[in-house]
Amino acid sequence: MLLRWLSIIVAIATPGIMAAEEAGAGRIGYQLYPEAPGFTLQPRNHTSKFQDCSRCHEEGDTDPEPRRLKTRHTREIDHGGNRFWCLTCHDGENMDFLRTSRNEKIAFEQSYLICGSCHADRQKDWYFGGHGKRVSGWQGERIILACTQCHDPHTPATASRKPQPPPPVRAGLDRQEHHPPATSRSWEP
Amino acid sequence: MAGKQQIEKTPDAIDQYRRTFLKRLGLATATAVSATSAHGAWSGKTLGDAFADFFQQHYQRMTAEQLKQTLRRIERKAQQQYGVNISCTDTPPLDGVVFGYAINISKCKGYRDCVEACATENNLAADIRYIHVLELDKGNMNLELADRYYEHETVPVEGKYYLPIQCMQCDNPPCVNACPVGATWRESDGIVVVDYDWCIGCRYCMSACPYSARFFNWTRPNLPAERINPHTNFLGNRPRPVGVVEKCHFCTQRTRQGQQPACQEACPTGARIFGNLLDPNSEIRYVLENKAVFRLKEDLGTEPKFWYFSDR
Amino acid sequence: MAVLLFFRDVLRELWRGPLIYWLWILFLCVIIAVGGWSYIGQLNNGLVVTNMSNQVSWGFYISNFTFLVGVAAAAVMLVIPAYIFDRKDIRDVVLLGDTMAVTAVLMAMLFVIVDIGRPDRIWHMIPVIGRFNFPASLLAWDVIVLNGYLLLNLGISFYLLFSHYRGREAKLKMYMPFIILAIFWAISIHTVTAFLYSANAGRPFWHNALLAPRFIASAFCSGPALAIIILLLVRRLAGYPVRQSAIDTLAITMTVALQITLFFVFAELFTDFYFEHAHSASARYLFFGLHGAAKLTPWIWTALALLVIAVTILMIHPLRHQPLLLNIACVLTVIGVWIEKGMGLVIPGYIPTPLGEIFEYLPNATEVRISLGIWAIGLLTFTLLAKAGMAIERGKLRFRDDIEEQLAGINSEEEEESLATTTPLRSAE
Repeated sequence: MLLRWLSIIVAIATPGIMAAEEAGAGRIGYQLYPEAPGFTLQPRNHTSKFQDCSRCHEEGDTDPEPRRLKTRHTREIDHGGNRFWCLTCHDGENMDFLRTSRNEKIAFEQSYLICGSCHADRQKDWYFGGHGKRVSGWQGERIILACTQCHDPHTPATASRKPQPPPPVRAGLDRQEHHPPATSRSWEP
Repeated sequence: MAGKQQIEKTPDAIDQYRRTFLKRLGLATATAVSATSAHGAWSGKTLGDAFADFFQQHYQRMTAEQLKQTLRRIERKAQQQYGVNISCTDTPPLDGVVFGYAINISKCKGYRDCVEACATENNLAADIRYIHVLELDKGNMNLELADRYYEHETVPVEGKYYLPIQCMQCDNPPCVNACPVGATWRESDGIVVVDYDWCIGCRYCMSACPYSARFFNWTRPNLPAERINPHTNFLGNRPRPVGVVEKCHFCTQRTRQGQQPACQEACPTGARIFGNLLDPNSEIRYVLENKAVFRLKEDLGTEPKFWYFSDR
Repeated sequence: MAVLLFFRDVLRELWRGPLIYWLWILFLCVIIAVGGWSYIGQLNNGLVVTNMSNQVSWGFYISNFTFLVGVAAAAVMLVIPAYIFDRKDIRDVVLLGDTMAVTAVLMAMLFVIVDIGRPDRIWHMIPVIGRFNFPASLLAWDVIVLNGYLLLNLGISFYLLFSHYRGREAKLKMYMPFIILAIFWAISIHTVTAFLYSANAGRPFWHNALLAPRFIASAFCSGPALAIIILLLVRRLAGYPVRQSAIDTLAITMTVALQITLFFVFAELFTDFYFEHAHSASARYLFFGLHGAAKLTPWIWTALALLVIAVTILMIHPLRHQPLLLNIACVLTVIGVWIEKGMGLVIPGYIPTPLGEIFEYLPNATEVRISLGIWAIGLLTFTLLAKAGMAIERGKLRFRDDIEEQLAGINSEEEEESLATTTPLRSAE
C-alpha cells in the first residue's frame, strides 16, 4: 500500500522535479517518446524586454481569476478560442515559470510540454522530425526549433506575408497570359 | 562555254584574283575568330585553357589529376568571366546515404523563400529557377488549373494550397536514359547529376522529364559578381556555361557535407524535411512511415524521391 | 586513277549549265548565306535567339528534322519496286530517289546540328573517344541509323554511278544485299525517329503506339509526293526520260499511304476526344485551343484540309492522271504532312507542359532564316548530285582512257555534238 502511494508520488513528482532541475539547460531529461531520436533545442533568444518576471511579480500575488488583461506587456490571445488566458500557460505562483495542464512547473525552454497536451499528434511528429524545423545539418547533431520559435503561443497561426516574386520566363521571352478556368465544381446543379 | 572562257583568262589576272581572295578570306577568318572570342564560350580564355576545355573528358572518366586541373580551370574561368574568386571542389557521395525529401503541403504557404534561396546558393541565371511553386485550388490536384506565376499581397490565399516542384531525383530517371552522351546519371546517394562540361545541349532530357524539372542555358548566365556564391561543387552549383542543361541537385555542395539543402534552410515554416532514406531513425523515414504521403505521377514508375504529405 | 577522273568529270559537268542553272545556284547561295549569317549569330549568343523555351524545348528545327527523316525513308518506295518487283521503269529513276534520300538525311543532320546547344561538343557522341549512351538513348539509335542510312545510300549510288561511268553494268550480286539492307534500314530510320517521341512516358501526346505507324504512313505519302515533283521537274527542265508508269506507281503508293495517314489521324482524334481527359489536353490545344491559347489551330486545320483535298484528287483516277492536278496534290501533300508531322506533332507535345503550364511557341525570323538556309543547302546538294547523276545515266559522262586528248581538249567538241541528242538510259539487267 505504501509502496503504491510512493510510486504514484514519484511518478507525478519526477517530471516536475527533473524539469525544474533542467530549467535553463539544453538537454531534455523528460522523454515523452523515448524511442524518438535525441535532439537539442536551438537556444531561445530572449526577445522580451521583460526578463526575470519575479522581480516585479512577487510570488503568489497574481489574481487567479480568468479575465481580459490590458497592460503594457500583455498580449492579445488568439489561441484556443476564448478558452485561454494568461495563466493557462504562465504559472501565476511563480512568473519565472510556465505550467503544464497538470500544474507542473516547467521552464520557458520546455514550453513544448504544454503544447503537446492539446496538440499531441503534432508533438509526436515534432519529436520524430515530421514537424518543425531542423536547423542543424541532416546528419550529426540534431538541433531543432522549439514550438514557440515558430509559433507565437499567443497568436500561433502562421502569419500571411507577401510572397517572393513569380518565376521568370526564358531571357528574351515575355510571360504569356493564359487563364485556366476556375476549378469546376461538377456536382453543383 | 564557261570552262573554255576560263582557260582564256590571262594567268596574271587569275593569280591576282587568287591572292586578293585569300587575303580577304584570311582577314575575314581572323576577324571572325577574334569576334567570337569577344563573346560566346571563349571569352577571355587562354589558348591552353581553351584546348583543355575542348578535350575535357567525361567526369566519370577523368583521372584525379585531370579532375584537379579541371576544377582549377573552372575557378580561373569564373575569375575571367565574372571577376570573382570561387572555389570549385569535387565532393563525392557519402557512403550509406540515399537522400529523400518530403514537403508538408499543409505547412507550405507559398512564400517562395525556397525558390530565392536556391537561386542564390546555386548561382542560378536570372531566368532559371529550379523550384516552382504551384498554387492550386483546394479540392483537386488538376495541374492544368495550377498557377505558378501567382502574385498576391499576402499568401497563403484562402482556399488555395501550394505545391513546390523541383527535380524529383528519380530512382528510375527517364532523363538518364534519354541522354545520348551520358552527361546525366544517378549517383550512389540518389542524386541525379549533370556533367555540365559534357552536355551537348540537345535537350532530349528535357523532353523526357515528366516533371519539367530540367532547364536550359539559352544564353550565357549573367551572374552579378556580388551575388555569386563562391563555394561551388563540380557536379553542382559551379557556374555553368551557355548551351547546357541544369537542374536541382539537392545542393550537392552542402548535403554531401552534412548540411541541409538551401531550400530546406530557407523555409520559414519547416515544411521541408530532408534526410537519409537509409537511416531508419531519420525524419524523412518517419514521415514516409507515419504520414499519408504521395508522389507526383506515381503511375509513370519514375520512383521519385520527393514526397508530399499533409497534416490535414 | 578512274575515281579521280570520275570526280574531275563530275565537277566539270557541274560547272556546265545554262543560265537558269546558274541563277538557281546563285539564288540558293544567297539563301544559304543569309541562313549562315543568322547561324553565326546563334553561335555567338546561344539559342536565346530562337523562340524556344524551357517549356517548349524543341521547335522549328526539330520539326523540320522529323519531316525530313520521313522523306529520306520514303526513298524505299522507289527501291522496292525497282529491285524487288524488278520494275525497269522505276529502276531508271531509282537513283534520283536515292539522291533525294541522301539530301534529306543531310538536311536532317544539319537541323540537328543547328538545334543543339553545344555543337563544339559533337565529338562527345562518338563511341569510345566520346561516350555513346547506346542502347538506352533513342537519340543514340537515331545517330546510328541516320549515319548508316547515309552511308548505305551514298555507297550504293556511288557504286552504281561509278560502274555506269566506267561503261559497265553494276553487278547486281554485289549490291543487292545492300539494297535489301537499305530497305529495312529505311523503315528503321523513321521508326527510330518516331520512338524518339513515343518513348517519353511523361508526354501523353506522343506516348502512344500509333506514333510509329503514323510516321511511316505519312512518310510514304510525302516522300513519293516529293519524288513525283522532282521527277516531273527533271523531265521538264532537263529532258530526263521518266516513264509515266513510274509516276503512276508512285502516285498510287502515295494515295494509299495518304488514306492510311488520314485514317490514323481520325483514330487519334477519336481516342483523344471521345472521353477527354488530362492526356487529351495537347490534342485539344492543337485542334481547338486550350484556355485561350490557340496559335497552332490554323496550322493543323490547314494541314488537314490540304491533305483531304489531296487525297480526294488522288483517289479519283482521272484526276490523278491529270498532270496539273497530280502536281497540286503532291504539293498539298508535302505541305500538309510537313505541318502535321512537324509543327503539328513536336510543339503540342510540350503544350501543356507535364505540370500543366501553357507556354506557346511559334518560330521567329532567325529560326526561319536558318531553316531556309538548310533547305537551300539541301536543294543545292540535290541539284548538284542529280545533275551529275543524270549526266552519267544518260551516258554523257564516261571514263575515257585517252587522257592526253582530254587534257588538250581535242575531243571535247565532238563529245559535245555526239551527246547533243538524248541517249537512252542504261538500265541494269
